Amino acid sequence: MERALVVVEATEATKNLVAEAAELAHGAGAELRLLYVTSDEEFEERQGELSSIPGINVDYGVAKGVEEAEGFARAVGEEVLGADGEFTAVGRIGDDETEILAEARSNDADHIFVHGRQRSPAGKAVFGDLAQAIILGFDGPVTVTTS
Amino acid sequence: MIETVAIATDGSESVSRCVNVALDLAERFEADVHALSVVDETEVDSSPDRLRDELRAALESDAERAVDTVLAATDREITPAVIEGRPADAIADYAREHDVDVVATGTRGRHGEHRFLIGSVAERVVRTCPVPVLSVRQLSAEE
Repeated sequence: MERALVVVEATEATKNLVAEAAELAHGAGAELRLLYVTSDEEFEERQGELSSIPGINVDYGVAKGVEEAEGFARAVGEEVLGADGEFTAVGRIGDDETEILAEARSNDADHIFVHGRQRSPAGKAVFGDLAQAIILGFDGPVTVTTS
Repeated sequence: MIETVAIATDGSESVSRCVNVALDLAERFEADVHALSVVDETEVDSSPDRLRDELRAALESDAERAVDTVLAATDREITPAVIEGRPADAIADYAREHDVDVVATGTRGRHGEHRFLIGSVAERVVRTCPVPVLSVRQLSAEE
């Protein structure tokens, strides 16, 4: 393992995922990259919120959105790994599966870490499942945590 | 600390990417390695009485062969285990009983009928395993 990519989400389970990923990556001497993907809806909602503040001219474009996503990934990383934890934080906006695989490709990640929700096969067929999509869409190893 | 890695194999691939990735990881952490294969008890139970022993013996032999393949892939000492049970549950139980830190398993490629699901056993292992599951996709011939 040389470049590990961790899918950070806005959930409690994300902290355990980051901790596990860090243990495996650091043990293997790999770089650790924490990615948070803001969905298009979240981004537009945020844009809408900010533009509705009267009297304030806020320019909340994609660049700002990406910066915020990165900030979130960094905040999680610092909480789990400490302020001097070794990792890179990165933010993206869009469909999570697409952005995660794109980030893995552009950064040449060789191992992805993602949390797996406890959905039944039927639930997955109806709602989709990110962990499974990553396992199917990524050529390399994917480590999935459940707790 | 990663002290124990368990490789769950059904022998459907010979020395595979999953086994290599898992052994590499175990090497890094100087972790103990277990290779396990599960004889699916539901398959045995659902067979006709008169064939049951034969089927069980055949499945056991398949499982042993799967485990032997992993043993042959390295000079390191590996604890082999052939167990009978419901595959995903048996793997989860084994992980608990042996204090396994990571379970490694291969998954089928994305072609064919498993286009949207990763295969029922792998899917259940990933969903129910109490410890992280390292999943390595078998690349199909065209990839």
